[in-house]
Amino acid sequence: MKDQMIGSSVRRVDHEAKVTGRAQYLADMKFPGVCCGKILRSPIAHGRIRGMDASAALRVPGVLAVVTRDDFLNNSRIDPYYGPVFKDQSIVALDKVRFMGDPVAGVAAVTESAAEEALAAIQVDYEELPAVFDVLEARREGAPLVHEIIRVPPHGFEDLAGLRPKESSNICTHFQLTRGDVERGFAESDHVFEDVFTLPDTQHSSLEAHAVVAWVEPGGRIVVWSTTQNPFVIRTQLSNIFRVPVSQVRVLVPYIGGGYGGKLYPKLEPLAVALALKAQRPVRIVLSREEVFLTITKHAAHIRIKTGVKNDGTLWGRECEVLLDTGAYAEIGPRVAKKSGYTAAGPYRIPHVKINSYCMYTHKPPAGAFRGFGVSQSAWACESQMDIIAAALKMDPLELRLKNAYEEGDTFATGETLTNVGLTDCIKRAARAVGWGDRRPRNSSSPLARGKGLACLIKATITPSLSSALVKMNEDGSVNVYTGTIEVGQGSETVLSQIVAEELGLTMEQVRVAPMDTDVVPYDLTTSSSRSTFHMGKAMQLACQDLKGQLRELASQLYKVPKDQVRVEDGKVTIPDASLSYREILCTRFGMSGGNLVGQGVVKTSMLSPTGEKSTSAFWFLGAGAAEVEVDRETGRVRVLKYASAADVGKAIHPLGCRQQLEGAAVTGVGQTFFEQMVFDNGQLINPNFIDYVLPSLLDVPEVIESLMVEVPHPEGPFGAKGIGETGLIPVAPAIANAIYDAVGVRIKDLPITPEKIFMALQAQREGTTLEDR
Amino acid sequence: MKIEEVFVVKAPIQKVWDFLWNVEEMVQCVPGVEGAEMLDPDNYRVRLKVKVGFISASFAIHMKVTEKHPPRFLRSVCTGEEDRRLSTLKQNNVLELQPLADGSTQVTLKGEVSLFGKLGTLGDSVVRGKARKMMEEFSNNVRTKIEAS
Amino acid sequence: MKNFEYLEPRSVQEACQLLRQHGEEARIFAGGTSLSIVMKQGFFQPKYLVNIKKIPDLTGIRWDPKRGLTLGALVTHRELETSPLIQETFPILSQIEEDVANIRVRVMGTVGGNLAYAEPLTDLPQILIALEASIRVAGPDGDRTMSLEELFVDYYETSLRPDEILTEVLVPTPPPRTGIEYIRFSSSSVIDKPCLGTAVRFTLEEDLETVRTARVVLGCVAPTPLRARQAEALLEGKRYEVQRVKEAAAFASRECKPVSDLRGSEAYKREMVRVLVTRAAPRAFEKARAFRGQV
Repeated sequence: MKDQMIGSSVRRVDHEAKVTGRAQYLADMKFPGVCCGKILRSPIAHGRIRGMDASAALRVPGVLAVVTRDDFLNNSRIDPYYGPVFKDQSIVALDKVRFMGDPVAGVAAVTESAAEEALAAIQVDYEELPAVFDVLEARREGAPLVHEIIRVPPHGFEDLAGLRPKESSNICTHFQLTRGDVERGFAESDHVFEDVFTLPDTQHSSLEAHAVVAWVEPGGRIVVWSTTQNPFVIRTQLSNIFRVPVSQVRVLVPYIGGGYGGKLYPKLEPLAVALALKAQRPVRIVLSREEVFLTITKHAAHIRIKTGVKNDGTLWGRECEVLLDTGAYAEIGPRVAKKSGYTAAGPYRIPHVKINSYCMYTHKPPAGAFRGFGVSQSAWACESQMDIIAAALKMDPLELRLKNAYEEGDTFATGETLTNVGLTDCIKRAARAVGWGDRRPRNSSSPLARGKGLACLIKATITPSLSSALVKMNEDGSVNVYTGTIEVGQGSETVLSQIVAEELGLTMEQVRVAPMDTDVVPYDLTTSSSRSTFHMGKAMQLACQDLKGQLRELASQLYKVPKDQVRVEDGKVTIPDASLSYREILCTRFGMSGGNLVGQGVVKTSMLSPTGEKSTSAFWFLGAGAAEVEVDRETGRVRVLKYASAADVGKAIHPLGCRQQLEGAAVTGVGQTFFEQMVFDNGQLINPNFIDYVLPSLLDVPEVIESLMVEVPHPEGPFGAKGIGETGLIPVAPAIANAIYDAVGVRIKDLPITPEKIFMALQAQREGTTLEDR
Repeated sequence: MKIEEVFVVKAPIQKVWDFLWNVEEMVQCVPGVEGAEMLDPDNYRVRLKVKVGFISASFAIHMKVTEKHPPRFLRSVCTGEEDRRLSTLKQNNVLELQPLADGSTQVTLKGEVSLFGKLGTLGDSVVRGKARKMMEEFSNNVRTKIEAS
Repeated sequence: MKNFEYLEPRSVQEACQLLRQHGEEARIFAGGTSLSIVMKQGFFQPKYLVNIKKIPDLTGIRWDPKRGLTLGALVTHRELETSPLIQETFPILSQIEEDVANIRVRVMGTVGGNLAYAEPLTDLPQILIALEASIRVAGPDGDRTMSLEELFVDYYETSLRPDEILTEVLVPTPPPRTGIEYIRFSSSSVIDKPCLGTAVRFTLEEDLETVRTARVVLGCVAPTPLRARQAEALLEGKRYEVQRVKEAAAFASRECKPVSDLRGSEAYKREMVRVLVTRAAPRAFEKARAFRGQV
């Protein structure tokens, strides 16, 4: 009997390649004849391009091609507009530039220095226009418009159908969710609270910068190597842009050095293909860190939240207005805003809810998906306000949460029924882990004060979605598996291999995940939304079951036994009186040592649940975080002594991987809470580097991080498993802010929480005023 | 980035205004100015060289006077392009003069400077520190020159 | 990064000659921890890099009870951190080095480079100035010595002439009854550049109560390290008293010139100078009372 595979922290299948540095990343891979692509970027935040002259650039020795808007105007073979939701992006700027850093031209040259020299030689004449840099400005009547016209593609995402840009405004999309009558809810409440919270633009900060290599084969077939998290979307978009069938686009993805949502949807691919077409050579573009800052960000947010509460702590009404700053292009912002809206009322039963979430255009770099996808924004507001409420009602924040938290069978804000909900367990376990309720005596002579705080969350996964998997059994019984899931470092190769090994009774060595190539692997929507274990894991399981069905069928035919007497288990095919290996079955079937059996599995989730009820999410992420902090009252500096992260994982297939997800999320959360902020001066990003954009170091990490896995098996997940990638990040900032309040009695509503903000709030507290009075 | 400098010149307001309104002369008080040329009374071309350690940048600046109320108020806008076209700068300036009881004049100088492009990412503290230092030196030079004349 | 010519002199004299020959187009390269960043960012594009790491006379840590400590310009932060000689004679230096940047920078970055680069957000200058360190400078016409304080002129600007090289740092043997405390204060990650650095040093009279010499040296609150001279004057020649320290801290807070930036507003930095001087002084005082020949 072999060891249990599911629930065992086997060695990662990529461990050796990555630990020894042999793993190949795109910037280092060798491509014969590859040349260097570089991007000219707008020096102004908003302006019309009056004229452009690239002739001097073409004369620079070593320059192979220059791509400007002239290549796309009156060119019926290329549609230069693209974008995952609206076609508001273009390969290079066509009429206007919309942020400092907006691509204006591309150059391909034999050397990097020739490409840089050519960029400097391109003359662009801009007519500068007024610009807006935050959501409140952007919303004002008469604000400069980022887009005058927005092209809506014919086949959009099903879940975003109906969301349209508001004409003659900077509102990209507006999502509304109403339940009950919020005004009645407030009228029936004993207390009403209203607060505004903000979060700045931040970075994904993946170790690896975006990169692409593209070429066009004779005959017009497009080949793209990309650091993308969703190659099939890239394939579709390139097929639309270059007007070729999907089969004429091949996208390959090597290992990726971190994604966190920053490598979804087209980034460099359209320009790289355009350059390759013109240069007739493979073109590689690798972004500098500064360029990554200008390519994709996390949405800054301005959130107003108003809550009505009964004297006993029952939440009775909640109104939220979420303004997300999507920058110059919609990217996937409309979905981020929608998801942010769904959960803006938090993981609580509230009869009267009204939510308005807006995705707003501004003249800043585009914002897109970021681990937590809108929920880390809305949870900052909602979970911070929970403790404001608890303090005002003199209630324990834990008790307030448990009183209102969703339980199994509760109705979500959308009206659908919630199932497989391990929320209260997460809250209780996180609280217990930091010794909730144990109070240390305060030493009044010391400037150091300690406090504890909690936060929890609910988040949806992208629905509807589609994952398909193939498992190909070889003559010796080993298998190659084909998946569109990208190994971004999250350990998907390992977990998918574990699922296949368990299902087919194989060892890990007998399972091999094939490289990602859209020519070979079947369709998968995306590696994001913490969806791969649940969706692709299940598709793998189904593919294995398909394969086992074929084996059973074969054994029945070949050995002339009734099918119901054939069992496929523990890596063997058992018939009455005999136990056969996979190898024997295949050998008998094909009459030689060769041949394959191929199993297929498809998971398609829908906006209707199996019972026909509306379904916003195929499953729900539930979790909680608890922090213990120490605040220096004289300087405002905070040390996180302990952080406990609890997540409902359904079933931990690889417990160490789950722990690493929760720990990694806690560390990212520390950065988002205390340090990270892109700082703009009139549209100019002044800290596009990791010297002045500060990330957490190992020395900033909480002294203890405790990861707690709550397992409420999900009936549709593989072995009950759900996703976990984002859960751990969402509660970190509010849990810490709540702990700071518990320690020193000041409430910080604007991230990041700097020592200065705490210091100034403490000073105001001593002077008997609040910050808002000043 | 906003900077403000307030200083007192021991001279009557009209004398201070006359000095400041002689723009070609006045901008010579800005450290690093290598030349100034009047295009018309409200428009000037100025060359400025700024050095921070081993990093130096030369700007061709266009200064436009947008509002003036002699002898108390002067508003101007500067836009400049760096010679290697790596950066641009924009500066809005307001000069306010106020006569004091002792016959001297208080000068308030408010500037809002933005550096765009490569130099905009040099580092907040250095850029601000340098701008503030230039403002201080400018004030000193203005005071010294007026009081000596 | 633009191409450059890499030069490797074998002696200080040869290095000075190269600098004289190439003027502003050349720059000395030692650890490269700061220079390589500005070169990669495109702020600085030298035509020549003069690597002085192969010059043997510039290395080594020496101690002489009379002359004090001599640090070759090429001594790395990591050497200061781990040298048993430093830990025995000037433990403050190894203690603070533990918190300087990160280990990769400490292994590569040199003391001479740290000082000659004149980065405004750094730690060593404050401590060394508080200890009255001087530097030796070599030029084509011979050597000269100056106090470290005189080295710093402005952001990234020193009083070194273009063809001069900082060769040594000399830290005098501390007088008896001396104690020093340094507080490195970061307003974000602990490995971020400091928001403030505050060194307080006392040398006491024989009564162990009266302050003979006080040094209050502040970093990151001006283009160069700044001695809070009013604060020092208030403390010197008087009995050490908590109330007086508070007053001195208030002086220091007023006489420094911080600018508002990403690491804090001017107002906050002034408040923190007050807090840090108040915190560092009693520790420096206690160390001075317990002086055993090392600081």
